[in-house]
Amino acid sequence: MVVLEVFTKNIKISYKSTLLSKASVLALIFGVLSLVLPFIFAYKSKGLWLKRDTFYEQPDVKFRGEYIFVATTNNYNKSVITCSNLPHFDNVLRPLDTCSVIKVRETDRNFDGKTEELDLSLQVNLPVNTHLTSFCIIIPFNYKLQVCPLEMQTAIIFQELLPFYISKYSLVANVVVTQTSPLICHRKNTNTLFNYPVIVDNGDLNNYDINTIITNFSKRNISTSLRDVYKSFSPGKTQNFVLNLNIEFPEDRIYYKPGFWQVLKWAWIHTIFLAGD
Amino acid sequence: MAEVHIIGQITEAKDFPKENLFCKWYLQVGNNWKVISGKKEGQTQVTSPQFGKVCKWSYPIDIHLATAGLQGWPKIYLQVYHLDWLGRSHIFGYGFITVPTTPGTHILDCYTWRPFGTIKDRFVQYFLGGGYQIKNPDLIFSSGERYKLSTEAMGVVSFELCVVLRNFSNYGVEYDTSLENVTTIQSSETNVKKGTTSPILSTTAVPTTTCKANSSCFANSTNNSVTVPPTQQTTALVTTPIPASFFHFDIKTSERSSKNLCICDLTIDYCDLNCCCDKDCSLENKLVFDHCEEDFRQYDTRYCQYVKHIYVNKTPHEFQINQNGLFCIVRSNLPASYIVQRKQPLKSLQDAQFERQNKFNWPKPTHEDSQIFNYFNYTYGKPLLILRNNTIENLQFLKSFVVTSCVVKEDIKYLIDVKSSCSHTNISADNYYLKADTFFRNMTIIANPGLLNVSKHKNFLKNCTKDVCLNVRPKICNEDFEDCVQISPNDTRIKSSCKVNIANNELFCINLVQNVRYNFYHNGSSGLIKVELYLILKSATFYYHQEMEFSQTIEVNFIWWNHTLNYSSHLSGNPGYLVGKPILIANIVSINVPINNTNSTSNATSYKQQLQLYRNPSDFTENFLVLPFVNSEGVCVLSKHKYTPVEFGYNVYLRCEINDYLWIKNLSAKNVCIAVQNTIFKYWALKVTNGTLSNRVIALFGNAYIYNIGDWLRPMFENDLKDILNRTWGEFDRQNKTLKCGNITTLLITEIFHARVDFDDIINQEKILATTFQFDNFQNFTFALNHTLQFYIKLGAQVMFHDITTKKMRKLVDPPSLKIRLPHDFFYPFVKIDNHGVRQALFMNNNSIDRICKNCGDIVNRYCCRYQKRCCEYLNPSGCPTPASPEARISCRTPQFCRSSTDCPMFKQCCDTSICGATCMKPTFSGYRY
Repeated sequence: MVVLEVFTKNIKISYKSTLLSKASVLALIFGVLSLVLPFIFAYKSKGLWLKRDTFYEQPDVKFRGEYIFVATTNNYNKSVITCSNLPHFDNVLRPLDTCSVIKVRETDRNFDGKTEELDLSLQVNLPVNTHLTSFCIIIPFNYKLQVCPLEMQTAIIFQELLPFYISKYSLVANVVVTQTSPLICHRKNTNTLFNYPVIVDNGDLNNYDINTIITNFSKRNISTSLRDVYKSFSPGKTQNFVLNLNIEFPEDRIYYKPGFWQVLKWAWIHTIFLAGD
Repeated sequence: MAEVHIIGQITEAKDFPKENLFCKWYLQVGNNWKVISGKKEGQTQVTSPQFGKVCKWSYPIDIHLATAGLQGWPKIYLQVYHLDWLGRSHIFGYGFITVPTTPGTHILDCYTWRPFGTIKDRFVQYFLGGGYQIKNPDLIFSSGERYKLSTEAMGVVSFELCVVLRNFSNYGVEYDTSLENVTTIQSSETNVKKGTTSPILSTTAVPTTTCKANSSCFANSTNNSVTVPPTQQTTALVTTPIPASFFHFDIKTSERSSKNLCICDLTIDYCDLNCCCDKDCSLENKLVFDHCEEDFRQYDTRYCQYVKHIYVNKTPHEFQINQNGLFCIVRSNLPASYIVQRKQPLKSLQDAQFERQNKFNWPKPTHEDSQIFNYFNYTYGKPLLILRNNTIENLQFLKSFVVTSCVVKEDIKYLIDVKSSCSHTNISADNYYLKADTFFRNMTIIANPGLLNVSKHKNFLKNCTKDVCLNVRPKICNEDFEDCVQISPNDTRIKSSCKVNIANNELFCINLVQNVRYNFYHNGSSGLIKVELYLILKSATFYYHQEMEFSQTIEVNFIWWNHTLNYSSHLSGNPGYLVGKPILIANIVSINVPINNTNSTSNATSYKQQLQLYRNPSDFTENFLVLPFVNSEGVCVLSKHKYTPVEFGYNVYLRCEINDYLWIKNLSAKNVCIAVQNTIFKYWALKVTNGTLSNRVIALFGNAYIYNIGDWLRPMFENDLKDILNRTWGEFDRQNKTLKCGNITTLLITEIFHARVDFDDIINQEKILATTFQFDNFQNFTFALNHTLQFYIKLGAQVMFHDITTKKMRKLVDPPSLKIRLPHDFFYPFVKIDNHGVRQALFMNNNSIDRICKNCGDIVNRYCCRYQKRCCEYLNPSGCPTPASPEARISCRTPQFCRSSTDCPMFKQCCDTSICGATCMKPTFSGYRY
């Protein structure tokens, strides 16, 4: 028969010594060292206190129903096309608007109340013998986090140069968050520092300029960007340029400044347990 | 007398659960033994160790015994006690040892035990100490009755005894006298010492093999010494065919030692450039070298000494490197090792294929055997066959791939509908695919390959009957496949031709095929029955200085024979809506239904107006929610064939321009504006019949049934169309040159609220819960007037889908409510009640109800009121009269609660122990007492 070791037990060996002896002094020195050294190691290896931490969360994303599309063409009579459905936009730039249909679907695949996928299809009518030479689309959306309460308005910004006749342009991409500094979390207070619109819609022509929008957008500490961008296009001469966007909102990694108790928790693990035995 | 000396000590006690132990011992001897000197019993001191858990006693024993026989050889039995902190002593173990019978020094271990009580005893023992003791200590060394004793093991008491025997040989007891007075240590060490000397190997007979470092072994035998050469050179000039067995020899490849190898020497008898170790290079040659090529030898630099090959003056040298680093290996004591690696050539193809598994492979192309014609019946996905010029081919169509121009051909497959368009860039009358003839002439479609009987007629293709090889009869249609005309195949009107106009640098072509539609009527497995072909021809002008493109659309529909498919039979999901499917609508129409009047004798049948749902099966826009189609100029078009369906789940924002005109003869300004607004409504597919929109209903589910009104839902409006039409205003200017219209809505907002619901076991089916239509963007327009009113208005239409699914909860059915009542005489056990209080409410007849109501109408308490109402519900379902007397009315409104009659005001009694009443009536009906 196979003999198995089913139980093991440590033997406790105790060494005893009188108070004033070499052994006691040595034990004291090593005891102090084993208590102090972990602190030194912890301090030398990127500090004792936890300075930043990350969490993973799928953001709650809601399409705001707005978009702005700016394109240039090779046609001198109609060299720029700008489309938007912003309320004040029409007053300013309606003559340049030739987009006819925008079709949007937000898909919640696992029925958890959060949008996983945004399908957007935009149809632009072009004059005869015209093709787009470049375009830029900006789709603002609301972005919400729960673990570290945050609400902001951010946008999908995509720019492309088109070298030749293209009838259909498809884009598949993921939206990820980009941060320049860790978030500061308060469990009760929602961070609404960036909860202002990406496009200021007040009828001022300058505010609909892509340059202005992007410059303002890039100043944010936390914003979103497209990642894993895959493009496909079908060349051809048509009077309808169709832009298909398929945007995924995956679970994202966000780093933040940990709170007091969390810092203490890690300090505890780093030091007390390290020093304990 | 033989004598025994026992000299020694009780050394220590170990492995006891506690310290502070002492021990009582007693030497037990037989009757014929006599103690000459020394004590027969004793008790050790109490030892409490400071270090460790071993109690050292070191109690001396020195006994001199004399005996006349061996019976009753001395045994030492002992009792170990524990002294606790209160000064109580508890038994901690019994044990005995027999004094060794051999002379010498012995180290003995005495394993002790103690009796073992019940759980309760042990519990008490644990906390309070004490325990069982043996009443009769003889039991320790007597062999009888011990099976009843249950014991637990305690610690070990060690003895060190020296036994000296004397005069035993006089009594016939023999022992090795040489061992007398010799110290023996009773331990296993002596055995080990013995074992080392015993196996002496005889080396004379066995031939041994000695192996040397270069791994060639020589068998050394005394008789004949044969040395096997380490390598066998197979140098054979083979001119004859090699026998297959040749390759099964183990051919030892000559592996030269790495010392002489030169890695960069890649040409024989030729000096390789910059290869310093090449023996073909002379010293002079090496002068031309720029550098020496790197050597790829691996050196084990962990060792203190190793040989390194380096180049000095472009000549290779071996250098013995001695490094005296702190951590270099002077000498390795690792066992001799060698590297196991694969160097044998593979022996068979199977081996090679086995090794190939999970390795990289170029895929092998597979050829579909499309060329081989088989006579099996069509099944789903099989290519459709045609007979053209007496050969059987697959029916193919051109398709775009990546770019929009027609670049690939694809088979038309049985029962797979196709709708594809691509553009031709080669425009000429000779382009095969732009000619109408291509699609029907000299071509028959094989109804079913199984019908072709090859074996009977050799010339079967020529004699193909009409029901097997179906002829295609083309029809020429105008745009949208309307007004189709059957034409004969030889009609010249469909001939395409192109004309070049050099002056204008243009090409004018007529009758190019723009749309092709095949309708295949099939009967499932028995194949095709009828083929219809619809063609749309178009003339176009192309310019040579531009790229020429002509877009062609091909459509293939497979339709079940004898089944007509109309729009009304299309569902958008079963049962719930599927994403991307259109939304079902229907119109409410009132129709006159004849009523058979049975009473009247006259023949005139009267009609009753009845509401019914109606969907025009031939018109998509009357079956599904649509928005106008936006053509490439951005103009709204809405017709039977041009529309944008609202697809479930897709939010749409559509903007287009309407470009329409109206006759305005003899119309007031307001009416003109109303007409304009009506035109806008028309483009939103809002049919205005009787000025109201509420005749339209929307299906709750994708499979709504037209005859079930419950499947349909009326949409909600902010304003009815009539209001919007009435709200418009219009005025002509003074010269009747312009018209100003106000309050014209140009934006339709449709919101559809849907949720996922479960149908028994089909889960998450989309159901529309509400639809709202709102109108917005009211604008004022100024139109220029002519005979007609030409107007351009920019329209908008928004569709929004809102998912309003809430979290599903499973709720349990309410448990059955049990009405448990106390016996009727529970509180008044001594009051006699008629009929023994059996309540028969269920079997109340009208008389008794009358009686209850008559009586309880004046009784003043809540119960009365309640029962009165109950009466009313029996008698007068529409309502309940107020109590007759004013006193009763007041009391019914403000009942006074009581526990006994003393709680109630004077002359009032507590009835039924809860409400104060004027009188407690004698029960008029069994069960009610007041």
